[in-house]
Amino acid sequence: VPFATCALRQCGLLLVGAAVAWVVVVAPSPARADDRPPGLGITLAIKHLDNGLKVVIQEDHRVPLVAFAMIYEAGSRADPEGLSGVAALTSELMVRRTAHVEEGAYAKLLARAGAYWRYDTRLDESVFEIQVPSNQFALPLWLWSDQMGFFEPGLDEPGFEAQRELLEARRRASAEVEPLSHLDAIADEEMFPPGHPYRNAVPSSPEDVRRITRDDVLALHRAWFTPDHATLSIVGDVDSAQALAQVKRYFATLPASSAGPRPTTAPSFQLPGQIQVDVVARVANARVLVRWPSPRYLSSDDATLDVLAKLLAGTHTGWLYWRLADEQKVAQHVWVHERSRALGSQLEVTIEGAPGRSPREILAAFDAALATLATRKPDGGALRMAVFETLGSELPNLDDIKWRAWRFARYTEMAGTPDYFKQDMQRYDVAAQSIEGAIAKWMPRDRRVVLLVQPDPNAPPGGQRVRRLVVPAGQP
Amino acid sequence: VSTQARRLRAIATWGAAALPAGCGAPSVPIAAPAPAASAAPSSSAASDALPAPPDESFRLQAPLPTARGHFVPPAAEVQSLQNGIPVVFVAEPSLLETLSVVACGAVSPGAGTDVRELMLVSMLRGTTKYTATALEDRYASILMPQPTWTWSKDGVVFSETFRAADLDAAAVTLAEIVQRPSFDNALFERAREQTARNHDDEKLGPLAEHLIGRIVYGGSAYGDFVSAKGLRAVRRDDVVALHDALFEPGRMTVVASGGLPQDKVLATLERAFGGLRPAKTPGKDPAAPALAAPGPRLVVLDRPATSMAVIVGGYPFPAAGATDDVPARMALQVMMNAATGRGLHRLRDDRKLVLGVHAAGWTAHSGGLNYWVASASFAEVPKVLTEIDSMMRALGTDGPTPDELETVREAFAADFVQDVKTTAEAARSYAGRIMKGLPPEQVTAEITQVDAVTGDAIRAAAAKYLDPSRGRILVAGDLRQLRDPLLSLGWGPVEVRDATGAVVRVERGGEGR
Repeated sequence: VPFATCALRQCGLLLVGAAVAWVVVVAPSPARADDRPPGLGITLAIKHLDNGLKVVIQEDHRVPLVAFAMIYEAGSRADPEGLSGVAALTSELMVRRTAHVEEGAYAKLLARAGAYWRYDTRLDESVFEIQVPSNQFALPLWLWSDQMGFFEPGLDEPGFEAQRELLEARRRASAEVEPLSHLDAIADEEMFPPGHPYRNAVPSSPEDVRRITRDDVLALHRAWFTPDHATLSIVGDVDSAQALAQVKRYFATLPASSAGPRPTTAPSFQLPGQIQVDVVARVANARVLVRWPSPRYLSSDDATLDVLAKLLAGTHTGWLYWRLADEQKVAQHVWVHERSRALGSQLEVTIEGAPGRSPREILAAFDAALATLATRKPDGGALRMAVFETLGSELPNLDDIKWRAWRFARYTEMAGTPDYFKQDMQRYDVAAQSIEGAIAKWMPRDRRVVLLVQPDPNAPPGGQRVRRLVVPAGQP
Repeated sequence: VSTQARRLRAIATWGAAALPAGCGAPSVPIAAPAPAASAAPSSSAASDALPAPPDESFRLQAPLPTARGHFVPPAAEVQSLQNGIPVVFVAEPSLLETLSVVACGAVSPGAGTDVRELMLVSMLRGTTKYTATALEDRYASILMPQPTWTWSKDGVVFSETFRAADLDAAAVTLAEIVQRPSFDNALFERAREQTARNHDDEKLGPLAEHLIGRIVYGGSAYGDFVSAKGLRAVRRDDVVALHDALFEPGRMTVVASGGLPQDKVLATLERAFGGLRPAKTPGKDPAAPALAAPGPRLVVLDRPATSMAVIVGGYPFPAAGATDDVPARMALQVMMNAATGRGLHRLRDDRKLVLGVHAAGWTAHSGGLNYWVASASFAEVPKVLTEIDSMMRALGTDGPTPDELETVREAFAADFVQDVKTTAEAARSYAGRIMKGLPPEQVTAEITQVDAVTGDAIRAAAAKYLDPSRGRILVAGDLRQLRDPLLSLGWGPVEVRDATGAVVRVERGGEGR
């Protein structure tokens, strides 16, 4: 069925079919040889070691490289309440030094091996990635098993303090050069009630980082940077059986945590009304940020909102962009983004005003535009564009071993199986009827967080809250 | 005693017996951790009758790599369409195929990077046959995003990655975009404004990295950079003229990366691109870019509201394919690599003057630019500059250590493999070299060059290209706080420039360079 003329649901199936054909997903039994894309070998079912470590391996012998991804269920949501930055600092310290890996040796050994590597702590997880020439296969396993099992002996007080100071300085410098760096923290604090795991700011403030102790780090590491809270994914030029044997050698004897499984739900909450916060920041033009709580990652409504975001401000459709930037000249930029998260997402609208426009003027124009768009039903063409703008960039990535390693690990973490690409794609078989009314359902004007950012050359770095107003839901 | 503590003790004992002292043994004795009940599995924490722990002496030292085979890049073979457009086939069995259309033509003062970027953006806004929406439908029909584009000082590239079964559709779409963009006036103006807005209020770091090219190469073509002001000055006619000059067979090459049979790809490309005819009057070859522009060593971009300085040190580098191109780039990495550079350890770890450093740059047909970047508080800027000055001179005298040499060589060697990991990356890699006027077999030559590079070659390249007297240093920050400390270095006057790169004034007070 030619895509240009097919009905949307047929197109969705076509997309899924294509994706499944390209990716030999991890399956209990090997796929038939004629189903396999060239260069890809057998795949293994997900393997749980006795200590709980989940292992995914996929062979791909096209180039002599191997990509590794390790995802720990240790994002900033694992930080102690009121003290953000512990998970991020723990990741930094794990890279700095462990019992058998001297200070600085992580980067040095990887560079010497010709590796690509990165690590990052996000809200839901901490992610470590390495890609090495296949003759260096064991090196990442050695480094990461030391991080997981032998972190504490390598963590002396001077090393801890030096890394803590470095992170604090980085956070401070970031606030200096990013005039809006505090906005996410302000919005999250308004969005989430006390006790909610997403209330911990990302990135953490320098003040929080200063309060972190070595004991905070050790407690978090013992609880969450453990095999039973981790997924290791390996994709590339390896022999599956030999790779699994090596993984067992390095990881099988490492102890599990006593922390138990990570919570999969968060306390439910409802915004009391419209929370409006005035902020000053060192920016040239006014900005308005509007945020709503939205459904969790991998839910079908989350996908619907991904598509809605593209309809509102994508490159090709951009209803809201056309209205505010092209027609009314109120805005310079309009971004709409569904920030998908494991326990509940956020739909975010950010508008940078045209020069001279005030935040309230921008908000009024946005509300008026949204009211007229609220009942709009996209035609088939607009919907197709939005779906493909959302997913199109994903598809070429399937060719990349690094991307696949990360993707398999993430699906395992979020969905319990690496074999989730098909279901993930199927979420985007969004019908026009789902979009119609989505604005009214997910973007209510009387329950949202609004940040009105006023330019001020004398504002503190990062932006500062100056006034807060709550208009209870149902009131004008 | 926890399982972990017992294991560590056992490792320490076995490790000492298994490894000769000083041969891989950890330099810091491993101390058994304090008992931590929460870290141990509850089932075994209190048991007295444990089985003998396994031999884990392998944890004491990094595993040795197996022998690295000599990397052979994918075979590249060149054929031609009937109108003369060369087609470079890169054999790369893969999940996907990639076509890249390269159009060569050096950037010139009259048709600078602003025009180049707007031309590429506008070409995707519709053709004489397909509206933007119809084009989107075509991308959707092959389940791929719109083609990607990139430009360099030497040309432009459009690329599309697709499934083998979609070869015809992908080639026809790409050819349509390349040959018949509509450059609709209203859409062009919208694209211009959107693109310019993306460059409004550019952050200090990226702005400083753009400006260093202008400072090193002055007003010549290699000093050109994209700016909001420049973009807004571009006229539709400029874009159309550049398109007509670049996309003619004499300047084009197609790179086909993937596993499809060459004859099938060639026949498809013939249908898609065979209608292109050579220009009646061949485009004039742009003049070679000017040599590095002279000027004071220190330049300040005044940003009064800031409290941290962004420092960029830039050097004119050899042209792509020059014999010392690889050693020169290696020298800068030895000094300022973001993870392993000498400067990182000295400035961040030992002196605590900066939070990090990194090195970047580009190489083009007639020259290159490489630079390092650091940020520091205003008070620390003179110390940072003095340290870097001294380190650069030392590298030019002593060269890299054996360890530094091995590290940088392995990193460069791995890049060749990384460059062909996917068909898209392989096509990009070959297209990049074609733009610079290098033959496809240059990859093989570079691999040999990297394997053979010596410490002395890096030392000589450092002495030649990283000599502080050749470099220009841009400090972006508050001039009021920077002026006196910079003049006190005695490195000569301090030139003050604005965000467009124009010289505002020169502050004097120091000795000569």
